Amino acid sequence: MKNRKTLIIEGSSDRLEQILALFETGELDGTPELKILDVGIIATNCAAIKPVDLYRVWLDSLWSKGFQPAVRSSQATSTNKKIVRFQNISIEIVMTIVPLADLSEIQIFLQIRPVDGKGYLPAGLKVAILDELNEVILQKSTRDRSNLLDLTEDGDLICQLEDSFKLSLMLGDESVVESFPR
Amino acid sequence: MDSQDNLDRNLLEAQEKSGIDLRQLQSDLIKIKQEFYPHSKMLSDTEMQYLCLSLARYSQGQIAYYFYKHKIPSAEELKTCEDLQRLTRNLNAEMSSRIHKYLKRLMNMKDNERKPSWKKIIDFLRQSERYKLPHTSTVITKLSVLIEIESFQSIDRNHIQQINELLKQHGIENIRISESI
Repeated sequence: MKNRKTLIIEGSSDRLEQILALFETGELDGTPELKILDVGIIATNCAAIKPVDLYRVWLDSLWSKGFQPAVRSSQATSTNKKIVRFQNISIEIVMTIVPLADLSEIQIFLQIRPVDGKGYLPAGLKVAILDELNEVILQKSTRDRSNLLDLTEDGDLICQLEDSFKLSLMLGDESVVESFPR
Repeated sequence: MDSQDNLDRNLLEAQEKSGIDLRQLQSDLIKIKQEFYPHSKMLSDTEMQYLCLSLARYSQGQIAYYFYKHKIPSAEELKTCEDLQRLTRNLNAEMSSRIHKYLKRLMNMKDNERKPSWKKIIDFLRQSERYKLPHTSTVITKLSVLIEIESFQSIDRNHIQQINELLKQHGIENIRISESI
């Protein structure tokens, strides 16, 4: 005659996972006198979830892409710049990121200007923002003696955690594409 | 054979609990299965059900009972299922040569290596962008252990001590074992 009983094991989550793994892999089945027939989970807790700091994610990404701080930023915003080189001329991308609300959204201000803001942008420079499907969502071009292209002056560019976009810069036959945030 | 509704329900539950894209995983496992069984076109209902229930962290006994009686058992039903050990053993043997074989290949393990635990499998899949879905992480706080002795004696503290010693042999200490009510 066989006698069965259910026991409860409590402990740290790591130890409980270890016990479960030993049983599942066949390494814990008892002794000749005492068989372990089944080991199962009967209680769980939601692990504390750390909210993603989207501002930090973007900052780290910009710096890893070669952006550098453009001005002394406050803790609330960050303005960064990166030089883009074409064959005969260089220009600068200036990106300001501002965290919104509960860190789950950021607002982006995007400008193209001559290096250090001195001089003019080349005429015929075409700049576009593309979405994840490479569809153009905004496009602007320079004319003679333009010293700034402000891509976000007409509307808000707001990103959430899974959002991404590309910045395309075309001058004659040359093109440069930067993906954000990665 | 389980209905499509049951399969869909189990698939959704597995996806939600594990944070794994089951459709993507299913697609990849089918390709691996075809390396072993070239005439196969899909995972069988049994293979899919086993995969879903395991990823949802049901126990081996619960899953074996499910295939036997088409429901997840209560603790009492599991305890009183006379054929439990045989059912579990048969299911493990069958799935070792099927789902576990495909998963080992997916995880670049050798065929003769011991099968990994479901925690290890889930962690492996979650680390891949290919399978990862947003989900709420959970931590285990209690396990149930169904034990059996072939004796007229009742199960007592000595048996609990035996379990403790067994776990210590595997380097597991600082746990509390009690009898369920």
